[in-house]
Amino acid sequence: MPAKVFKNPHLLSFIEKNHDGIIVVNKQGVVLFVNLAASRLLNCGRKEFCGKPFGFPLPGDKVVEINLPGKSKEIVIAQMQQMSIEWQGLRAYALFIHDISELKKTEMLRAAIDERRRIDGIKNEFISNVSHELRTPLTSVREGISQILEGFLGKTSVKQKEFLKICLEDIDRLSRIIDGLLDISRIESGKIILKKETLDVVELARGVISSFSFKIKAKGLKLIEDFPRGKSEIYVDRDRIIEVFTNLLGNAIKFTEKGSISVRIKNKAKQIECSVADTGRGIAKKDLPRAFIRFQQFGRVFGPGEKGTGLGLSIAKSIIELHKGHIRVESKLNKGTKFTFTLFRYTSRELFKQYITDSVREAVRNDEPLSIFIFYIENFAAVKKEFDTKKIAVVMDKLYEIVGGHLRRQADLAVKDDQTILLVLPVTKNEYIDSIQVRLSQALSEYLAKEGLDKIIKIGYKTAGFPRDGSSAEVLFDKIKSGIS
Amino acid sequence: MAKKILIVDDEPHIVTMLENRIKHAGYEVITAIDGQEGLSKAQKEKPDLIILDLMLPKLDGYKVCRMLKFDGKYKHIPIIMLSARAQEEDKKIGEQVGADGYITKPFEPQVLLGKIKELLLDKK
Repeated sequence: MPAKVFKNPHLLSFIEKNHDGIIVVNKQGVVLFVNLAASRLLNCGRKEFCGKPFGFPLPGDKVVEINLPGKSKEIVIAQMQQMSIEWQGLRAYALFIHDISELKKTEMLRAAIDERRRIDGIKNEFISNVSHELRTPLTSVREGISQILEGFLGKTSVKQKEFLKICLEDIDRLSRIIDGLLDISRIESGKIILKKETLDVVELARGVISSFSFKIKAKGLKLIEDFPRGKSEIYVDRDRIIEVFTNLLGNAIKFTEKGSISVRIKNKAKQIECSVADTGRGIAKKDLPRAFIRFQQFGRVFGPGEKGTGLGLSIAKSIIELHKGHIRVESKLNKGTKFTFTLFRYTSRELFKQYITDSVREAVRNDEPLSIFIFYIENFAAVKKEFDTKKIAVVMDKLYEIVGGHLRRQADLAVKDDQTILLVLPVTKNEYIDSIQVRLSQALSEYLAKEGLDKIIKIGYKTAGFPRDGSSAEVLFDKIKSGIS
Repeated sequence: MAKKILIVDDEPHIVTMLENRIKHAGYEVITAIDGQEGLSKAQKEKPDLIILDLMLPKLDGYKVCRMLKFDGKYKHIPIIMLSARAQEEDKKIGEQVGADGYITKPFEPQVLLGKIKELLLDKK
């Protein structure tokens, strides 16, 4: 029994409670002592183990790695070291066993991630190069065919023209595939930077729909629009979301011969839900899980018209996910398909923060300064008792107009909610912050005085500058956040 | 007198195609197959417009463009970058070095001819 061996109880508890396994074996390799941690690591009762051969070769002077059975099914990886000692008057070895399974797991995980990143990098670089290399010969082929078609090289028969037109169509399709691949590789490699702005998604959807209205009419389809009243504002990359609507609407029209195309937008508490539904051929249940995978095309259309690239939905999915949204599909064969995507609605506080984060990133990237201002109704609760929401909105609009009057460059930005105005001036040097703030505060109070509101509405301000006050969005936001509701 | 257009591209097939297309539209065409030749032809022949590829041997298109646009004697010559590189960053660099237009390959003939016409009119 171990207790007998150690006369000193402190020493015993020190060895017993050690997190590392400690085993003592004699010169023949027979186990003389096992501490608690070691019996756990070896998944073996101490009584069974003492007096039996240890079973592992002794490490000598080296530190060796051994695999142990462990308690659960998982193998424990441990480092083992040996030390020569005297044990009850005889020469023996103490073995120290240190569990490094967790360390190994993290190491392996990190190596796997690194490897994946490396492969992704090579893949994307490759796709980008291939796209470029393919475009060059495609250019002369396309030009050659169109010049023959246009009659630059002599007369062509009707049949020849027909064939050349088919060639031209497919060259353009190939070129769209190349663009799509390049798009995907850029989105996946994170090389794409979203140029986000606040916009009305209903207005955006209407714009896309109108570009398809001719096609919808030509096919004799009914268009159903179901939009909320008023604005549905989201903070997104305009061109990218247009691309999503274009892809979904284009698909819906292509695969629908009769019936209707419906575009719906719903305002939900924390997100905006957009859907594009059709009464077309639908996707079979077995094919649905592959709907967003590239080059998966179901029920190809025969006959005239632009052929698909097999990349549209995959790109749409990537774009929505890049915006931290979700996209899903429901479909019934011969009944129709419905694509639904959701985009996050920011609270004004989140939105302000997002604006600041994006501006700071841009400033760091371009190595330019950034000046940030917040003007807000300091005593909003009191003002609310005095005026109704409408009246406050009118005042805020006017204040916003005054602040907005300070916008000079295209990247300058002013946004507001019901009580706060955020003004972000990239490139503007930090030493001008104070004078700009003074001037604007003055203009705002002059307006309030003129309207006789200066006794009721108190305007507060906060400012922050990059690099003056910090170089992270967090720090800069902290500096002004007390001005945001 | 027909306006003179210089085509700089290292792909002989593309030069052939472009030359034919542009001659057909009624312009006079001269060609160069690398950046250095392009630059010296631009300086010697004083074309009315240059169509410039980006990835060129000896001297790349950006450099050719910058050297011409930063030289008072040649900066009035409009330059259309014609490139298979279609990314935003490429167009941005094109703008920075002073190109007057950026068209990606493969191009729509009408887009290219329209741009040529527009730039030649602008100059007057």
